[in-house]
Amino acid sequence: MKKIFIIILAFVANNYCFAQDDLFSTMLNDSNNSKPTPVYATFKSTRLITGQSTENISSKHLNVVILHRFGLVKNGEDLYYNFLGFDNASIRFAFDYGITNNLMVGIGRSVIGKTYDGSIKYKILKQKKGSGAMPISLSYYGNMSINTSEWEDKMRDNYFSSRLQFCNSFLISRKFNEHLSLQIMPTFIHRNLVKFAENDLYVLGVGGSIKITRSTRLNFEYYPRLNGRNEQNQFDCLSVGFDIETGGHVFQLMLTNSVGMIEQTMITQTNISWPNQGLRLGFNLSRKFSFDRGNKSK
Amino acid sequence: MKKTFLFLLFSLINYIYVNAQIFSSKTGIVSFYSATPIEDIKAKSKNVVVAINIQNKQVVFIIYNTAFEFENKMMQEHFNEKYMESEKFPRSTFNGKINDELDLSKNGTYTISVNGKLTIHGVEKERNIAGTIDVKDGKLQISSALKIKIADHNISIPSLVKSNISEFIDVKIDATLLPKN
Repeated sequence: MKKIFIIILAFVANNYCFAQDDLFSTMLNDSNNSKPTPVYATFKSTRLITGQSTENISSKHLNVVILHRFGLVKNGEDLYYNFLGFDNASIRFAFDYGITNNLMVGIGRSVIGKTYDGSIKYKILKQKKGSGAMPISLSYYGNMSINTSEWEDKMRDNYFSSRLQFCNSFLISRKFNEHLSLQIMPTFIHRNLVKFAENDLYVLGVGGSIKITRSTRLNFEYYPRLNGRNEQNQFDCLSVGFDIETGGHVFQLMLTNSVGMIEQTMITQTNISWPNQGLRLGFNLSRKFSFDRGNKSK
Repeated sequence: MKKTFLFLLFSLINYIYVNAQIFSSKTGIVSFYSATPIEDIKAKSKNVVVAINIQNKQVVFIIYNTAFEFENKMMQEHFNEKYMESEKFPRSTFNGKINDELDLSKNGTYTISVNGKLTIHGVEKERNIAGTIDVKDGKLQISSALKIKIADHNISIPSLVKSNISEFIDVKIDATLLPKN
């Protein structure tokens, strides 16, 4: 009798244990694998302002970017005559394509120096969320440009290699929280031919982004040169930007002292500073297209 | 000694018996579709957790928002970053009970209606959802379709893209459940 009682008790107790364990919470615990998840949307665009960010284009996506930098917004009689500098626009077109989710290649053409450029950006590390996860994102960005304007001195022996300029940089970023992302970009610029300047320039760029609303961000970037600071009429590039994302497009409006739209010209051809009324308006307009047909959902 | 043995034996039988009432899957498929004259947006997740207790008829869905795959990866980022806020609300869940009187241990196709709580974007909504269950040789094949009003779950659409995103999202669910071990 006692035996049967114990058995029944055991049965009930065991059953009770399971009944108490609600299916919803059981499944929730079951599926709660603490695998680190990637952090997304550190920045709105592949560019912070003029320089690059750690964001890439996804695999099989094309990003078409139209960049404009206008003339100086300088006080004086021609301020409104030139409509805040809009009449002296400099343009660059860029096409970036994601070969994989981590590898992006691009080509571009700028008005300045009639320059063609080719670039590559590779995501080496991706910031993740979770215990023991990667705390930063790290990318490599390289760009080679060819100046195709006429030789300044036609009497000299001119070589094609003299037209080439190179940029190599690492981009290190961290999204600290939903609203703040910061980035540093150690950059090395090499120019094959220079007049009275250093061939090699080292720059330690810093930048950041503050999310204001779901669709807008405030950005800044500053590229102080570590050497070649005694060059005449050379200033560090400083920009403040505002991103507006409208679904398919990202508009990046900015105030900057630089007219260059690739690192090489941005860093080496900024010849006016903010305190000397060296401000320009500018914008990048980018549109992404997906060619990823394999992922089509039914 | 004998007592202990019997105790363990019954515990084991009980354990197996109780578990046999639960059918589950971690590879359920949930897809959604937003149709507007400007653009169609669709996405699919193949890693949805689904479970049914055939005794008390509890139905559970757990969907990881970041598992949704979009054809356009930019939309995928916007989905997580701007609308679902997946960092704050990583999961969408459903926890309900089948209303109908039916025995899911027997083979057959059943039309069901489920009452429960649908939680998306941290907002809980009482919903009645219709679907079918196909029971065949220890497998439960479930499918359902429902409409979700975005505004019901406090997801606001910026006015700039209002015409690109439908007010109602069509959701489809398909899963094959096996006894949970």
